[in-house]
Order: sequence, then structure tokens, then C-alpha cells
Amino acid sequence: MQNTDGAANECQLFCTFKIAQRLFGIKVTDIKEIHPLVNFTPVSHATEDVKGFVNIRGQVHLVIDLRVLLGFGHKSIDDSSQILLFKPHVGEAFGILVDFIGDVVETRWERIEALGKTDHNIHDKTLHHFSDFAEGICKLENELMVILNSMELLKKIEEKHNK
Amino acid sequence: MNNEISDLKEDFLDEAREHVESVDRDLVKLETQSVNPDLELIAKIFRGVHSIKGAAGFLGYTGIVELTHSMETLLHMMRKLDIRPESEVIDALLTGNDILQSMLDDIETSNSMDIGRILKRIGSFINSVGNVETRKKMASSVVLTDTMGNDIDFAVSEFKLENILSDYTHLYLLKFNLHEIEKKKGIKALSLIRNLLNKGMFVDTKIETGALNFDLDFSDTPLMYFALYATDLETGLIEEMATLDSNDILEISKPEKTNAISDSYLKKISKDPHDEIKDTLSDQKPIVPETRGHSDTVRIRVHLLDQLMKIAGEMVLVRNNLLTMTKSDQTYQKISQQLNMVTTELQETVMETRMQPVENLFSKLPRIVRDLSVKLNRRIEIETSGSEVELDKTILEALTDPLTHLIRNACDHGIEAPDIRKKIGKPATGYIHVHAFHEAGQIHIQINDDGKGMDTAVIKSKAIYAGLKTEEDVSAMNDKDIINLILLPGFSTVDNISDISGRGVGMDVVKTGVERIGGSIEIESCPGKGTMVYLRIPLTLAIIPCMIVEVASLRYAIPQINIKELLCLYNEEVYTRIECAGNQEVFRLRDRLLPIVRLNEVLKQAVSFTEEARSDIAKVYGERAERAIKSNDFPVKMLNFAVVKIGKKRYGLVVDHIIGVEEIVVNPMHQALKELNIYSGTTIMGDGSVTLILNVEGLAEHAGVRFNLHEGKVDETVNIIDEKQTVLLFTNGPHEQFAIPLPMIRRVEEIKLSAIEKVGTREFINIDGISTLILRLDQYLNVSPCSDHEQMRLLLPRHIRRPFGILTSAVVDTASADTDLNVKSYMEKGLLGTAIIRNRMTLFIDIYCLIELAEPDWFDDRKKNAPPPEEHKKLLLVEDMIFFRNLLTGYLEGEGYEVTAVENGKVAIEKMGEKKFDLIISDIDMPVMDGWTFMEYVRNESNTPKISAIALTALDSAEDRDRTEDVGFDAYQVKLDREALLINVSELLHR
Repeated sequence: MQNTDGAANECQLFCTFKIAQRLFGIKVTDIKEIHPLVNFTPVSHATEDVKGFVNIRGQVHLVIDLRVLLGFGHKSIDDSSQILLFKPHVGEAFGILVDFIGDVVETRWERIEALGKTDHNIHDKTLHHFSDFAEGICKLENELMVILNSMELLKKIEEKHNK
Repeated sequence: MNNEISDLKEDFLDEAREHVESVDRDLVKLETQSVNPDLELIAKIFRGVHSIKGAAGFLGYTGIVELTHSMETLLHMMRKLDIRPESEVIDALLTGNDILQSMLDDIETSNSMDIGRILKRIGSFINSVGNVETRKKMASSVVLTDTMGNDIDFAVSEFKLENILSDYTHLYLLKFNLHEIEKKKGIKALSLIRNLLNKGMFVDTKIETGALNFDLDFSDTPLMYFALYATDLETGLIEEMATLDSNDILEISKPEKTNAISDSYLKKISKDPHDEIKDTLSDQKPIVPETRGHSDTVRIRVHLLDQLMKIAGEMVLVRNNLLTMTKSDQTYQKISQQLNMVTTELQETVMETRMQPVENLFSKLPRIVRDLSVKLNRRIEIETSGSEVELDKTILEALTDPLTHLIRNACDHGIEAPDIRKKIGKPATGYIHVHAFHEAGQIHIQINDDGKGMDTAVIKSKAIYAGLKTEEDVSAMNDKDIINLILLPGFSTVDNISDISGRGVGMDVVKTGVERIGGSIEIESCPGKGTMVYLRIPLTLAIIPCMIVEVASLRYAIPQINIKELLCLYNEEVYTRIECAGNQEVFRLRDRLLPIVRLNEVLKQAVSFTEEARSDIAKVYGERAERAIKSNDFPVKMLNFAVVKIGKKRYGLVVDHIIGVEEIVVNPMHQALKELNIYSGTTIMGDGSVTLILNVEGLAEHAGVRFNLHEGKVDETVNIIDEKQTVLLFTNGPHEQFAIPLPMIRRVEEIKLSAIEKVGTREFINIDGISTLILRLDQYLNVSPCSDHEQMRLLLPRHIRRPFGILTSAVVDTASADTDLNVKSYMEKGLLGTAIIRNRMTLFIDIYCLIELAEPDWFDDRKKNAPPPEEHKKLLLVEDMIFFRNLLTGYLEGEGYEVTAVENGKVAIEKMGEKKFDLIISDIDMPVMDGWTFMEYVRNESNTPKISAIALTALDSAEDRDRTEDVGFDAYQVKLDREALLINVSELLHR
């Protein structure tokens, strides 16, 4: 497991969110802000996982429907739907649409296990869908948090469109 | 490499600024020590100035070098106590230092900064102490080397050289063998020297001969004359002028420019030094603000400007947002209006900060031309005008490549070699003119050259060879369209490009480059005379006017520059006007078939349309239209489409609604979605929503639009309604131009005058074994007599039973002419009227009338065989083309019938409601309602289902005939056999 953020015992903050009842986490340092999805402009010809464009304070952001990208299928937007916007170093102005925003979780790097090595009783096939993006898994008190590598998200979308 | 240089530059600037600052401080300090100056301090100042000079020289900032050099000289004299640091002197140095500062601030233009005055002012002090420097320079000689670095045996004083190099750009060593010149080339050495003196000056000369004894062997040993020649001419030109081989011309490297002080003060012979100082001081005053107060320009990082631009753009949006709110409060309205004004002004000003004169681009061109002319051994001059015109920085940068490419092409393929030019009577020097001007919110750049132009025949064959066009395609194109074929991608890959008489190398690259910045390119060329390339460039990219449209409740923006016009169809037109040609929906727009693209369908399907997909769409809408027409129920009441253009191509883009025009700030498309070709970017609308900007070219590609439809090739299932009539233009006598509608001519026969046989007053000629009567226009019309050549042409009309032809001296061309003929300016029997075609008054011939004049008894057949026409019978003539409508009305009224002429079936039905007719003559192919539909209505639904009806049409297939019969026409006549029609009319009226 690659550790870019210092020693193994150092703490790392993760912004958690839920998609299809599953808990995911993304490094807080990658996140710029969280915003409700009010209205967006769909983009015809884009792949299904592209929700559309939104205007956040005068800047156009691409919104990725993370649900579709991870293979969970469509779900209509409701009050708990939010978008996580990323900092510029992650990629050109974009965000991901998630079902529900959770707490910020603090954990040590050493507690995060690489996806392949895990010997937990996860026989969940859905994990395969997002193995492209999953950086690792972390066992919290009563659930598992899949940590996503935000760098891979936009890359995947771009790849799909370049086909 | 480039990075290293730019790093160097940055270092130099930082360092130089520090020096300038310390020099400034130290000079002020020095001023207080005018009596007993601190030599250490002077040395420090000297070192500061000197190090700027050194680095500037290395980086090629000659202006700075020149200025620092003169400051250095003055400081040097001060160090030697030749001059005291009195306040006038310090003042001059401070001014120099200030100018230096502003040169550093705008380093790229520092070389073109005018520093003459300050040099003169500093120079006057230097001169005041007895021309020490000058004297020194007069004494020191410079070692000259050729470009290879070899010394040449000429000693020239530094002073002289400096003076020369300020006047001329090049220095050459010319080697003449005087004997040879006179003997072999027959040129007098003296006249040669005189010629050279006209274009430059001899710095020094010497003669060398191997002859020891002049009397004995002078005449047959070579007499070498070496001349050090300073001029502005390039090597190639010298060769020609001096009649020398290139071997005998050596270009001398210029000595390091650091020595080349402007001659303005060196030349000066000092008067009273104080007067001089006063002079220059008073001279200096008016420019004080621009020297000391170098504050009217500030260098700003482009990034910062871009940021400012973006914020201003956002502010525009906020304003738009605010303006959409309606509030009746007076104060609110007043404030929002003010905000509106201020924002507009802010936006304009910010835009202006990005504007740069085209000069920045144009100034690079002479150098390119110079280099190319040397390389290609051609003489080319370039002139630019309108360089003050300003363009957005981004556009200017994007324009650099296309423009240099065009100039290169003009030099390389346009301008001929000097000897060829002379041979064809052109001046040896080719001429390129680049002109920029501002018009209608766009920048126009015109590039003219007087080269050989382009040969359309070659372009045609190359285009066919490269498989870009078919024979059929090009034959229907005019010269201009053919020339513009070179802009097609793939044209340049045609082998042996230099054969294409003109341009060709990567013109598609130029086109793409220009179009990327929203511009357009057009080329005109006159073989043998030159080529004109015409660029139209938008002023700025950042904010563009767009048409906002709506499809499936979503808004899209289409750049206004891509929109030609907007059209709207109502009610049944929605279903009837859009037809299907093959599997492509089309709309008949004036004389063209406009391919139709339905935006909703394009957006629905992410994969590019296949033939099948396109035909499916055409089918769906076709069937829908059929159902609607059949049931006479038109659920969709309105159809909007924009006629969009991509270069010369047009297509109709169907949208749900057209919202209006809005100025939008363009954001580039998100990187991840760059591959979606149908969009070109995004923008934020007044209400804060994001709107996609459509790329009309990408849309057309996606939809696989077939553009060849309106490049002259028409699907057989479709006939174009032509409001214009194609006519054959010809001349007979020297004065008049005549025209006959093309459909009335069977063929044009070439005949020999000597083959004409005379029978009494009549002339005949044998054509295909038939004696054909020749009709001379000047015998029947009041026109100038035929200019007789041995080769003449005979026009053989269609639909005339007896063989006859109209004699003409020359066929000019075919042309498309307005068919609304003028019958008022000039009219005589035998004419249909006149029209202006190609700026000439053109007489339209009435063939039937002409025959009546020539052979009145030819039409007796009809009068004998057919029943006499019944006068006052009422005829309804339905014909969409004005030309035929008027012609037919004339013929029918000539027989005494009362004619009501209308333009289509729909109007005809209305007329039938108002009036009773005895006979209908109807065209088939008409807009709005065609002849078939019209007749179906007449037979089935009108009050007079039994009325006689003749179909009169150019359609002439068995299928058309059958259908005409099926819908109930009594007879079928082909356009236009007057006799047959009149017989038919009178027969039917007698039935």
C-alpha cells in the first residue's frame, strides 16, 4: 500500500460518504468543498457516469455520478444527494455525486489494508467493480470503509471518452 | 534551449534592475561631490553600467548596449577627471538611467525604443572634451573577417566603420577581374562602379595584379580590383548587379555591435559645449514625462490579465442575472442600470488590455520574406499596412503560424524567379502586400501577391486525382470554388506539390488554424497576375455572441458566426417542405438543397450516424409527414431551424425553440470530455445555469451530413426549383450581348462561314445532312451586324419543327440570370425583354417571335390544322417561375385568351374559388403545392371537376407522364414548345 502522507502511524482524515449503503472514504486533503446538487446540465453523448455540468460560484464543474461509475446503477437525486468537489491538484474542476455524506473519520495508515490482501469475509462481488479506484480498505468500528483514490476517477472518465 | 535563454533573460533583468537602482542612488550621491568626486564611487557606477552592457550585448539588446555604452564613455571620462560630475552631466546620466529602467521594463521592444535624444545629450558632453573618443576611434583600426571567420586584408578605422554600418546593413568584399569584365562581359568597369555606387558605397578599394612590368604584361595578367562595399542589398542582388559569381562576393561579418555607437554625436563637431548642453536640455524637456516618469505603462503578467478577464466575465454574468429580475422599485432600477453601464465599461476595458497591435505580428514578416528571397534567389518585397489594428493577444498568437505560412507560400509558390518575371513583362521584384483593417466587428487581413496565381485546371485534376472530388463535382464548380479546393485536407498530400501553380502546401493547416480562432479564409486568384488570400478574424475570443436554442428542454449555444439565417416553417409546411433525398432529409432553400440535421436526434445518439441510422430518421419523419398530409392534420405547428455554415458548407439544424442572442463567456470544454466533438465549450448563462456550446462542424460530422447535395449534384428524385434561369450568353455583333434560356436550345453547332450556301436572300447550311436555315439577328432586330469570322456558331433551338439556327459570332458562357425581365427600358418585337447580366445589358431573344418575323408562314400549319382560337376564353396558368409565367402569358394573350397567372397550386385553388376558368395550364414542380396535388384537388374537391387541364413541365419521364395522367390532366406538354401547346389549348377548348 502506497503511503504518500508520511509515516505509517500518522493519522489521516477521510471524508466519508455512502453509495448504495456502502461506506467510502476520500482523503480530506483532496476535497475542496461539499455542495448540494441543485440543477445541472446533462451532457448528451457523454457516458452514463457523467452527470453533467454545474456552476459553482462562476466556475463550471464536471459532475461524475459515482454511483454509476462504481457500478451501482442509477438513483434519482434526493435531499441527501451531495457533490464532493475536488481540489485542483486532483484534476480539472470536477466533483462526484454521492448518496449521502458521512462524518470525517480519522485513522492511521497502518490500519488500511490493500484491497487484494484483505482476508476479511468480503465475498462481495461489487468490490470488483471499483477495484480500479479503491486504494484500500479500513475496518471501522462497525463497518468497512473503502478508500478511493480520487486521482483515478477523472482519469477513468477521460479514458472512457477517448475510446 | 529556449528555456535556458528565457532563464538567462530573467536573471539578466533581475540583475540589471538592481544595478539601475544602485546607479540611480550613487549618481545622486555623486552630484554632491562635483568639486572633489569620489573616484571609488564613479568606478562603482561605471561597473554597474558596464555589467548591464555586457549582458545586454550577449542577449542582443542592442538599444540597451548603445545607451549603456554612451553612459559608460561619459563615466570613463569622469573617472579620468576629463569632466566633472556637474549637475547637468549627472542629470543626463540620470535621464539615461531612467530610460534604461523603462527599456528593462519592456525588454522585448527595447531595441525599437527611440534613444536618439538621450544619446545626443550624453554625446554632447563627450564631444565637449575634445572628441577624445572620436579621435581614438579614428586611430584604431578594426580587423574585418568574412562570415567564415577568415581575416580579409582591409584595414578600416573603427570610426569609419561605425558610420557606415549605421547607414547600411551589409558589408561585402567584391572581387572583380577588370580585364575579364570588359572583355568577356562587355561591361565598362566604370559604368559598373557607377551602378554600385547608386546602391551603396565603397568603403575601401585596392587593385592587385601579378604583372611586374605594367608595360609588358599588364594586358594579359588578371587585374584584380578588390572593393569593400557597404550596401543594403542582399547577396543575390549584388551578384546580378556586379555581374559576379557568388565565389567572388564575400560577406563580411559585422564587427561586434558594442562598438557601433550611434554616429549622431560622433559626427557632431562641437560648438561651444555649453550651448550644446543648453540646446539638448531644451530639446529634452518635452519628453520628460516619458523618460523620467516611465509610469504610463506597467508590465503585467498575462496570467493576471486572464484572471481579471475571467472575473470581469463573471461580473457580466452576475449583471445579466440581475437584469433578468424584474423589480418595479425605481431606486433598484436606477442602480441596476448603473451597474449595467459600469460592467459593460469594465468588460470593454479589460478586453482592451489584451489587445495588441497586429504590428507585433507584421513586423516579423519582412525578415521571413528577406530570408526566403535569399534562399529562393528571388526578389521579393513585402509591404504591410494597417499594423495599428488591434487584436486579442490569444488570437494574435494563434494567427502567427497561419500568416507566416501564407507568406511563405506566396514567396515559394507565388512569386516567380526574376528572369521569368522579366520575360512576361512583370517587374523583376515580386511584391507582397499584407493589409489589415477593421470592419463590422471583425479584423480583415488581405494578403496579395503579384505572382503567377493558380491554375484551376491543375487544381481540378489534382483534386480528382487525390479522390477529393469527382469529375462531375468539379465541372459544376466555378473558378473560385475550385481554387478554394486547395484548402481541403488531403489536397496537400498530392504528390509533387510544386507543380500546383500556386499554393498547396498545407493550406488545410492554415484553414484549420484560422477556423480554430473563429475566423474564415477565402482565396481568389487570377492566373498570371497573382493571388489574394482573405482572412476574417474575430476581434476577441473570450466573449462571443451566440444564438441560444432549446432542444428537449435544454438550452444550447451556437456561435453567431456559424449562423447564416434562421428559418421557420408553419403548419403544413412543417411536413411538406422537408423532403428526402436518398437517406438525407433536405430542404429547398432558394436554389440549393439544404441538408437537414435534427439536433434532438443527434443528441439522442452518442455514436456517429451510420447510413442506416440516417435513413431510419429520414423514414420516421417522412412517414410522419405522409400521415399528416394524408389526414390533413398537422400536429406540429412550427418548425425552427438555423441555417448554419462551416466554411462554404451549409446545413439546416432543426431545434425546438430559438431563444435569442446572448453575449457569452466561453469556457473551454472540460478536459475529460474533450473528445465529444459536438461541443466546443461551456458557458454560464444569466440565470447561473451551465450551457453547452455546440460545434456545428462536429454536429455535421456526427450526423454524417451529405454536403455534396448542394454542390451541384442533385439526387435524381429531387428537382431543384430554380428561381433563376440558366441562360446561354452569346454575342453577334460587336455591341450587344444576347441571352436565350438554356432549355430552349437543343445544341450549339460550330460552323464554317465558307460552308454557308445562299438560296436567293436566304442562307442555309448542312447540319447532319439537313439543310438548316440560318437566321441572322441583325436582319430582324435593330442590332449591330454580325462580326464575320471563319468560325461561327449556330444555335439550334429546341421544339421547332423546321430546321433553323441562329447565327452568332461567339458564345460567351452560360449564366444564371434573374428571370424577371425588364420590358420597359428597351423593347422590340423579337425580344422578351432585357436584363443585366455580368454588368452588361443583355437582350433576351424570343425565338418564336423571331421565326414569325423571319418566316411568317412557318406557323401556318397550326393555323390551318387547329381550330382557330376562341377569344376571351379564360385560362388559368399555374407556373412558379416568373420567366415562364411571363413568357407563356405573352404567348397565350397573343392568341387572344384571357390569362390569369399564379405561382403555385395553392394560389390557383384560391383563384378558382373567385372566378370560373375554361382551361388550366399547370406546371408540375412547384413549391407549396405541386401540380399533381393541385390537380387531385381540382378533380376531386373543386366545383369544376371536369375542367380541361394541360400539364406543362420539364419533367419528362414515363413515370411522370403516367402520374400526370393518373391525377387527371388531359394533356401533357413539355416546356416549351409553343406551337404544340397552342394547338393543344385550342383543341381542348373546342372539345
